[in-house]
Amino acid sequence: MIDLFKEFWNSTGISEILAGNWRNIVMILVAFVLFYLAIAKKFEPYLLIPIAFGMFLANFPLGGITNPPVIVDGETKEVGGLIYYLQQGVKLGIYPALIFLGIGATTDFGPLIANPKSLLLGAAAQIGIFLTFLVAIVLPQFNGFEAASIAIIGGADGPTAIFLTNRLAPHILGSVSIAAYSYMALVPVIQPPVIRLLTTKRERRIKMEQLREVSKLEKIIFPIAVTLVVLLLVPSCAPLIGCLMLGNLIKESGVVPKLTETAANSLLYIVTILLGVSVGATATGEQFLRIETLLIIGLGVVAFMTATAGGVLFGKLMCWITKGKVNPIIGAAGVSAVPMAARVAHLEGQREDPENYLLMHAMGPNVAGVIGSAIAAGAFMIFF
Amino acid sequence: MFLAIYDGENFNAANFSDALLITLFSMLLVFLILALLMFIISLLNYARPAKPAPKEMNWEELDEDARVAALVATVDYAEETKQDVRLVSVKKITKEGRK
Repeated sequence: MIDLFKEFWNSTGISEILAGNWRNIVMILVAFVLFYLAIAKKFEPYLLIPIAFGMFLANFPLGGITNPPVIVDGETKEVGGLIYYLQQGVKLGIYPALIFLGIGATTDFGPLIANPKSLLLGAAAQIGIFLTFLVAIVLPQFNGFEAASIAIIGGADGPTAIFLTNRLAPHILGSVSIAAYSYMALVPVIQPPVIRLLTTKRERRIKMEQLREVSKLEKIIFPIAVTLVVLLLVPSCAPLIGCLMLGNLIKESGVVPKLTETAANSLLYIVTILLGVSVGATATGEQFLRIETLLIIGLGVVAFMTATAGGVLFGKLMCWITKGKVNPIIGAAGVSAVPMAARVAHLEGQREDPENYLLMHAMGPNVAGVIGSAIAAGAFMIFF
Repeated sequence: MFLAIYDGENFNAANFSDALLITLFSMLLVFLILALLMFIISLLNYARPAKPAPKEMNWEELDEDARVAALVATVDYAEETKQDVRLVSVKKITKEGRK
């Protein structure tokens, strides 16, 4: 009877924790903090809830939910845990690409087509990625692969960060993705001080001319032209740009409304759940509770702030060149984080002048940032 | 030197110059591609079907109330945008139209 009890006790997670696996308990507490942020504070709830739950599940000792299958002589002796199989979508780079397909089906590139100069603001905001790369590379804790993966947080684009980190440094995937999504949720907190610091009241009050109408033909040509140009020059970002533009072409063609609806709703949300749980499950105690994680979180802030500053400073340059026709605030939206960053730029403009409507002008750099960060990820993949 | 750059695992502060080179090259690549796209999108402007020219408005056909309303709206818009404004057309909005 005692032996039976002992055997039962040893099979429980409680015995494992008491045996010294305290890291898992800390991670379960971190998952609770993320639940609080997602549910009570509504910080990126669509992603933080699945991520936190993946973390919650993966940190139960002896559960084996992330264990790989046991294969002996080509014969499967024991099947793997559920999350192990779900994680193959991340490992093979399938989920980020499918998320981009859904994003493409929900994105209107009209403001960008109406004002093509916005693309330069989207490019300028990528400075944050590369400056953070330079900072991370001088730290002894990180090699080139890890520095590039951390730097991509500055792109403020979760799927791109996951895609690149999975290719270059999968062991820090949990910390990079949690930092990326947390900071994306904190865009309304991080960006305004940077915008106010770098712009004058007069600049923030600048009203921009109404955007021209964009024809259907232009909207159809756009995804094909972008795919052609980007993939000829940086083929490594084909999964991201290809899927983004496929989703957009499906939407703009107007002939497959059911595909558009599926890609923009069902597919996007299903993959969001799978991606979130899979990524959260990589944040196990052994992987996450390290000094490097704190550094990644710190570098993530640097990446976001420098990206915002890069966009705003380039916006100031455009404002100067156009003799005051461009409001520099819209440069801040070049960091991606669609549509949050555009909304922040709009609200900052309205804070100075309630009749200043910058939302559509900010959407141009905002969607340009999505393309820019995918190209930046592709550029890193050329070197590493 | 580029062979050394490709070896990401051996990156450290000592070859910061290589990292700087990667940064500059990648930044340039991002700017060049997006600038090229900007140029192509600017060309897309020509793909727009030409809009029919608006029909010239006959000021004399409007009644006095409509003229006053049009002038007030024009002055208001000119003050708001601080630009010279040209009134092109006046459209009567019916109660049904507002719905």
